[in-house]
Amino acid sequence: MLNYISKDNIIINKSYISWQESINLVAEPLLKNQSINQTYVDAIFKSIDKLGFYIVISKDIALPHARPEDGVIKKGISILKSQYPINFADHQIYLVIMFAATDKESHMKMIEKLINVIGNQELLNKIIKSNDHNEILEIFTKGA
Amino acid sequence: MKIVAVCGNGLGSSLMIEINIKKILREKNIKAEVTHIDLSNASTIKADIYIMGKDISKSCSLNNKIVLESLIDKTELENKLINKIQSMQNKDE
Repeated sequence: MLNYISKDNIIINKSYISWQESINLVAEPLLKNQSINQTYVDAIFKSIDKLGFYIVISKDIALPHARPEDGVIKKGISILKSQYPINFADHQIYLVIMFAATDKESHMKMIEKLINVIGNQELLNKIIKSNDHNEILEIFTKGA
Repeated sequence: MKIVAVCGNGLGSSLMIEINIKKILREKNIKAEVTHIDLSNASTIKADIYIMGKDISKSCSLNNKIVLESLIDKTELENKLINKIQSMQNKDE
């Protein structure tokens, strides 16, 4: 993930939270570094209302995101790893990854690096097992 | 042959599926045009195969769908995609 991910963009959650709380939590780093406006987070909730949990991309991972025009200021990504499963309907999610894209294509490299990590079952298992900030940062930065 | 990856916003998981489709086609030496799009515009693109997750497929009435359990599992995608391509080729013969 190289320059996209830093320690500030990774959150380790060690309590039981709802899926709504997880989305608000994972949005915090992107709001703070001014990648997105609050309208972006609102749009994510709205699109889940409309389309269901299409943001669940595999049995452990949710990828909440909305569109560039929903309040993206600059490209960004943030990651929440939860020690306990978060219930997205009947999915039990451990990894919530939010990204912000400024257009249809320019985040391609970011997504490609991301899938090199989370699409690799061995690296994903390591991430799911870990609740250590530095270890997870290292997997995301070096694994890709 | 044209293959389209479909997801809710056309930005995230469809892009991931597209990246994996391209990898598989390269490995198998299969030539095809691959792109990605959001669900609401999917019907405007004419394609031979549409690939999407099961949550999206409920609201998608297109033919020639491949529905995925995991959007990042390259093995599942490869099995379903190769099967589909082979069955289409058999139909042509």
